[in-house]
Amino acid sequence: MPRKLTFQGKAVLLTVLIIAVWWVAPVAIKKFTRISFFEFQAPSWVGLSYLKDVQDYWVNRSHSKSELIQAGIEMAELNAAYELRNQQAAFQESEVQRLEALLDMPSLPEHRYEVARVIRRDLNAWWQQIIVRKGTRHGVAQGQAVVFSGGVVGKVKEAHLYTAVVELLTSPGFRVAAHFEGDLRPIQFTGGYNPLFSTPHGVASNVPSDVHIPLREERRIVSSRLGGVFPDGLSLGRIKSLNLEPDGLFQNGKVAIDPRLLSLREVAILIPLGEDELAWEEPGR
Amino acid sequence: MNRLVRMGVLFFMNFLLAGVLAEANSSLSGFGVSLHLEMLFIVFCGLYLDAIPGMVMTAGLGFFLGVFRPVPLEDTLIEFLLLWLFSLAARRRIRRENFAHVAGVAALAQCLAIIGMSFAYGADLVGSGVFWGRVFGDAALSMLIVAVLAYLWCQFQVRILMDMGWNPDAQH
Repeated sequence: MPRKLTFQGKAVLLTVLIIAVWWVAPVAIKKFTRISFFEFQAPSWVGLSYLKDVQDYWVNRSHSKSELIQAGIEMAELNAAYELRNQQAAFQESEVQRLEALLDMPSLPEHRYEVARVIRRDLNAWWQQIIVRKGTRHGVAQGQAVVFSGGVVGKVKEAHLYTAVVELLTSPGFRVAAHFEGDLRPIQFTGGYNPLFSTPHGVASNVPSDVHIPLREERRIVSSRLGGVFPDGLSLGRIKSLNLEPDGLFQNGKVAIDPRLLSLREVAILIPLGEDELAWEEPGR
Repeated sequence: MNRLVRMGVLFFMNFLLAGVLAEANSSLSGFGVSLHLEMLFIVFCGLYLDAIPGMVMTAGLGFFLGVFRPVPLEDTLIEFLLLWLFSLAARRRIRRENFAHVAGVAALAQCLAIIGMSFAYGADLVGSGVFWGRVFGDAALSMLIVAVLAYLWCQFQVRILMDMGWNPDAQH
């Protein structure tokens, strides 16, 4: 009996001791430990993701020539459509610049897209985050916006040397300024509802009481540049109905989020362009 | 082979297991479900290792796995050490050669950990049915997998250590 008490008592004492030592350790040591452990493991995750790329490459190599020809035809059609859209975008861009100069308005912030591979997804009830294969070496910094073809992904929470942690918009506590498509009045989007075996949803709140969504229709809500993180007009989700909030002044509603967000393989990080980069891209400006 | 090398091998095996489980969670993310299998790393330390090596191993694994979580590192450290104390307390009350005993201890501790973490990290959502539905769904699946794998993973580690010339079954 005394032996049992000694063994378990020793274990409890050691546990209390190690927690106490860690608790009183300076913040610098804690931060250093965290970064060291992360950076030590990062190469293994990056290596694993490169292995997956090789696997994908060999899977693609197994496609027949007729499949590749078909894919080439589809790509050519897409390229043609995008070329047309590029021409329209260039014209609209010059129109925006002309109006900015005419009205003496400050120009909108511009970004470059840094495409990054997703190497790990950690999506549970408490937090929703992914780790991507681009870091501070590629210009990634904390707080930058992350997007994909379906709209907003989230924002960079931590930037490490070769990797970055991205907090998804489905994460509890994720809040961002938004507005309805075609209606610039700001509303608030909050993530965090991730049901089991189902697609996640968020909540739109502070919706003005005169906004109405007809039955069996839905409206898209998009990001607003008011928050300072995301550019205007990136899709956040779709909303089908609104309920009046208890104060009677505003409404709220459930926002359906793109289910592709849960199985992303590639994202783009919006890196703000510096003055020198802007000058390089647009010498005449 | 000295004790440090044996511990290093055990640590590396658990690191590989963590990689496999993280890949499994990445693949499952599209289905709206996630697995929490911390007890797989801790149950062997609690049931087979001595107090100091067990605690060092548990704390080390807590640091390794905790850096990926968006919470302070000490939270994971405390969680891992409490789970280790739980399995250490169970060590004298169960037969570690018995599949059901090991499975029961691991699954129960895992369930307690998930509920504790839900209160700690889901403070804003504790009133939400969606949140608890997800938590209990994840917990049920995680407990099932922990219960199935805990004993097998422990025995695998025992066999590896025996091949390295050390019998952990001889530990009291």
